[in-house]
Amino acid sequence: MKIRDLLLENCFFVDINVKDKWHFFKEIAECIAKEINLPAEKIEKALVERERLGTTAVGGGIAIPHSRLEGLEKIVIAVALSRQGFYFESLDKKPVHLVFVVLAPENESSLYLKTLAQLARILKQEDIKKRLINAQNIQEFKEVLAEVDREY
Amino acid sequence: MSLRVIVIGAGEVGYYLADRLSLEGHHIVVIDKDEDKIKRLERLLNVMAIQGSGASAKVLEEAGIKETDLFVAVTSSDEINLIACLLAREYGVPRKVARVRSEDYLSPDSPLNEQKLGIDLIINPARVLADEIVKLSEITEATDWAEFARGKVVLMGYVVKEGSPLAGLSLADLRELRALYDFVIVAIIRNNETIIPRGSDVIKLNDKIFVIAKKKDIPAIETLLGFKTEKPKKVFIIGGGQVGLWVAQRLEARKIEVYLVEKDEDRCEELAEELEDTIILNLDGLDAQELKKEGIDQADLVITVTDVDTVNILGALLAKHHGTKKCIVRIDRPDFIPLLSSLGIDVALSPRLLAANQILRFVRRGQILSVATFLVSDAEVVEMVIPETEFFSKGRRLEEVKFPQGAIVGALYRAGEVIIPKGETVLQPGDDLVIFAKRESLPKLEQLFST
Repeated sequence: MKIRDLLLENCFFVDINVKDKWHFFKEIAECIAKEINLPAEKIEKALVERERLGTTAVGGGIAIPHSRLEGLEKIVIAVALSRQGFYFESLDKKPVHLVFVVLAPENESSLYLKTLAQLARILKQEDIKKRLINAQNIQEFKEVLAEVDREY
Repeated sequence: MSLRVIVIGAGEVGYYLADRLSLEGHHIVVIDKDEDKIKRLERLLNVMAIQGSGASAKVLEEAGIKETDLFVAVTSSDEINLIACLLAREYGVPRKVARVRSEDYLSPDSPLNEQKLGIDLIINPARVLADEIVKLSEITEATDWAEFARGKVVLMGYVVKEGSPLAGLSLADLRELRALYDFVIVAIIRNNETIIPRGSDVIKLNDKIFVIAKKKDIPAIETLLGFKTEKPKKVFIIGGGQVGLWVAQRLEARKIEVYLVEKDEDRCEELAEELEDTIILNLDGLDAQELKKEGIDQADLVITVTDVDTVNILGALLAKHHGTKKCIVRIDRPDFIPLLSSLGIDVALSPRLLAANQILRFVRRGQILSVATFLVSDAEVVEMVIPETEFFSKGRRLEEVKFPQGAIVGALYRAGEVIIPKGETVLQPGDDLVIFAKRESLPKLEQLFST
């Protein structure tokens, strides 16, 4: 599997305008809902419930909100960039500029964890991270990703 | 530092303590009246064994009581244990521990209690067992649970079952997840062997894993790893002895539906007086038909705490066969323990080993802050303080410190804050480390941290 294969092309935001993470979840859930044919409220609820257990912002301007989702058939990833950054309750208190939203089927086994691990591995690389944040469109984003997104 | 220890009573607790303390390099003398037990000790352990009464001054002098640092009285008789401790006090032994079963000596308002008897620690195995059962009943999927660093750090044990997202994952993958989830897997138990894992190790089905994390992060970690935690709704306790009663009292206070099964009719009446909401069933714990009628198949948890090991094991297996989710079983004979997880027993607890572990915790109070041991494993978790030595004085990166093989740092506690350390984390004098260690690496660990 590769991260690129899981991206929802129609849920890629180059510069999302939201006031905080709760607002973000609402917006992104609406977009994802259309792509996977599940109710937006359900998607939003899953992300919010996970977030309440602890922030999914990992610091350095990145967040990876994620959850299992009943009724989902395969893992999907939505991406949002924000030039200005928005508030996500990061441990380092910095605004978030790049968000990967990962949703996985209820019974997905190790692939879900491997996907999260792969994202964490990619985002550790500072130059890649910067170039992803500055991507102008999904093609550019995928090209940068392709450099480090090896099969897992 | 090597201690001189006298242990009175070579039963299960005494034997286990003598074994563990002598392995750690302490000088041990064991006293027991029973010739067979003395012979067994001499044959199997590297300790001095004396046949005689622990309540006899002459025998105690022969054992070297005048130079003793620690006195442990764990015979099956409360009175002998207490008298032996009183004698030890007269000889000026600084630390004294007694096992006492009778409640008369245990309450703070009793005419004779710990303080008045001058005993530093009084241990009641039944009470220790009841506490442990209540603690483990809170968690339905973890098989082990221990707290460290004043409750801020926990160690959890889980079995990797069919469908678990962990099966097939490498430790290197899990390490990447630390950006999101701050935990370490400190050990894998596979085929009764304890593995301190490296990056290339892969988790397999039926492995038991031990995880160390901050307590506040546990709900998120369990959600990710697919382990569910819930308060049980319906619990059956088989065996209405002291332990069964205590556990029932604590669970009913938490609004859990409790059924207490006791064979003896008179005892049932006594139990009815002591309990409020618990439903008392005058039944045999192995009467499957009747228990099913009462709904044991719907129970989340069955706790078997009769005096008979075989009844406890069979009762738990029957309940699980009928659909109970989890069982906690009291076991007195340690020989059975290795069998149990392969039979499908989720948690096995030995009151004597629990009591012995509490004593070990007390013995090590100086250097090691606390210790938890696990029945399934030849390992334990210890808390140690980094000393003000030359080596550590300017701070040391974790990867620079040569930990003995078989030991791994799970957490660091500094000024009220918990850190789940990585290789580059700097250790400073005064830091409190939570370390998972195989038993044989303990003496080396103590050396590393000695002043």
